[in-house]
Amino acid sequence: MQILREIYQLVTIQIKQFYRQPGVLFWAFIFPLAMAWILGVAFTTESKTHYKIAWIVPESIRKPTRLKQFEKKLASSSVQVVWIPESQKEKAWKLYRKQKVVLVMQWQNQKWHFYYDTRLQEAKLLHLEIERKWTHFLTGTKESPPSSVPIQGTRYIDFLLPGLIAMGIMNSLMWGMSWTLIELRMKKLLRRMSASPMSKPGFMLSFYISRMMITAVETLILFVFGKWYFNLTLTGSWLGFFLIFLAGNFAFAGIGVLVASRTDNSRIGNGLINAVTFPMTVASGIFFSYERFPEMAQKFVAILPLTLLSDATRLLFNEGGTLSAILMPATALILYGIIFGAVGLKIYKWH
Amino acid sequence: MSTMRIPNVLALKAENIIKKFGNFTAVNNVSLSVKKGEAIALLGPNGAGKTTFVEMVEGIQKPTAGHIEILGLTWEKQAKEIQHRIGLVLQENRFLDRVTVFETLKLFTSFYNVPSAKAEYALKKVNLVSKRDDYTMNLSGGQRQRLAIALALLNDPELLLLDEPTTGLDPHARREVWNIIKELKKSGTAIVLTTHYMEEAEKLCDKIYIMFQGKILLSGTMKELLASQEYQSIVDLHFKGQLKKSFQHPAVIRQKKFPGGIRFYAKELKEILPPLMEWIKKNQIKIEDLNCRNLNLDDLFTELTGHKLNEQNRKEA
Ligand SMILES: Nc1ncnc2c1ncn2[C@@H]1O[C@H](COP(=O)(O)OP(=O)(O)O)[C@@H](O)[C@H]1O
Ligand SMILES: [Mg+2]
Repeated sequence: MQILREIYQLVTIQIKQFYRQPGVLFWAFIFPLAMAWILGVAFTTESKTHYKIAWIVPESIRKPTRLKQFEKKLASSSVQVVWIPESQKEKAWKLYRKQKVVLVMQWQNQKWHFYYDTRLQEAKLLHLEIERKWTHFLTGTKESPPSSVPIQGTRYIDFLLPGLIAMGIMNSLMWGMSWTLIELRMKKLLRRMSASPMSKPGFMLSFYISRMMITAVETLILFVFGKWYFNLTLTGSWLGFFLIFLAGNFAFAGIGVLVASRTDNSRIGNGLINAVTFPMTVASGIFFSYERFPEMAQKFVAILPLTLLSDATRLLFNEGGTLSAILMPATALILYGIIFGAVGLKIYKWH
Repeated sequence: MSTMRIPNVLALKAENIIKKFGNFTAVNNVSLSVKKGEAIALLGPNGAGKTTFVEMVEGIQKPTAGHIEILGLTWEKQAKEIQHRIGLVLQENRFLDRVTVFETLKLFTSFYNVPSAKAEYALKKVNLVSKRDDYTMNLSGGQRQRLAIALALLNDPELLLLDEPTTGLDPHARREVWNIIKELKKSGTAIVLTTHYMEEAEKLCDKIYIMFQGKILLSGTMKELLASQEYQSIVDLHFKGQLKKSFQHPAVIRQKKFPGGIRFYAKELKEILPPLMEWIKKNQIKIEDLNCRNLNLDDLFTELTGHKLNEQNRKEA
């Protein structure tokens, strides 16, 4: 079959061209990883918070063993104590004002007195926590710590990573495929190719295939990283994920063909690709939820291809999305691909 | 693909080809034919319409009017078959930067549906074996042009169209390309070549079509073209001072003054030179320079159009 041979040759060339480009490793693979890692770590405050508090104690007692034991106990739950003798009380307020300590406790008449701005929720909670711990300490009873159930979907990375996968697909198709098509025309190589008996459907198909191979690797890298570093994985249908991946690639392939259909000017090409990718990157809720947009805008944003893709991916990752739940967005994406692709091919300038 | 080859069919037949861009007529009623194994040149300056014409033959552009037959086939009916049987080198040839020479050729073997071994064969034909595994971005201008020719040879074309195959090449690279074309011609490939170098047209082609402003002004073999004029020789005399008496002699067919001198047109140099020397001596003319030569294509073109063959190009450079 001539067309298969042609597609095989074109795919091979495109893949070679891809990995032979300097910087490709960085932009295609390392950059999205770095973004996931930096944003994921920065906004996913999973680690225990450390608190500092100040204790005002009468000079006479000087770190009695009982209080020392309690201090140790607090330290084990990340509360650090600054001891201040009563005569230097002022120092405690100073620390408080500078926000070096969250609250101040004074040991008076064998009792704790708490001082803090009662409007502050954090200090209030800490107060209750310490009171509770003190009671347990006095009575010697064991605390029954609440065991937290980690629910995927609540951290920022849970939100971000599926979005990054979706964005990666868009960028790969738009910059990889669309741009390469424009470049071929720019170099008049397209003209040379189409003057040969090359099959045009085969030519286009080869781009879809080669790009999908590349996005598959990009996606896999993000996926493995998410699992390994953030223990983030698909809770929904794998088949659904495969389907939405294909559909997403297809949609952006179609859009890419349309964008690349006429121009042989690198600046116009650049502008067109940016005009497609940039608004969607911002609006489609890759980095932050679009729930805050006005309702009318939300409705529009929700049907953008990137939104369809990222929302569906999120559904699969975090909410156990089923195959049937994916059918709608997948169909919509395929329609996008067909419509834009058909128009693109119709007006495609081969010469 | 039909395997039946009618022996006497023309490699190319173009009849009354017109191509308009808006109101501008780039190709104006051009007719020409190329026999199998024949090589023709479209000789003309930049903007003459050579590329437009050739691209219509290649199926890249559509004529506004006229009829084109290639190996007895038409673009309307047998586009794929034509593409399989012709070879072409476009005026501008660029390749994928980080793809090797061999990979580029191999890709095109899949388009032409010929064995990959043809890639090696074409490399040898254009003498590019040593660059086989180099990236195309590292090739010199001449090597790039040879690669473009190699691509055109993958399918052993019966008709080869070369659009300014040596423009911008240094003399050495040009000669290399010429040798390749000569070899192809020997092997019986019909060739259509466009150029604005008279030497190229003269050396490589059986028949020359002089093209200017979309029209064919004159065509024929080199001999026929030159014989089309009454004169075959030109003498340019540069001198100082004024002429008292003009040179009148039956050998002089025409003469034309130019700043600082006169041009004489004659049938043969040996007929005009002796009386001319005599006259110079008699009139004590102070010769600055004396140029005599047999008519060439450049002269012919200038006579026909009042322009130089490659004047636009000089401006470009
Ligand atoms: N696509 C086009 N649109 C408008 N004018 C064109 C186009 N292509 C060529 N021309 C004009 O047609 C004339 C012939 O061009 P071309 O065939 O490239 O000449 P040549 O190859 O002999 O240098 C030129 O004046 C050129 O500007
Ligand atoms: Mg030209």
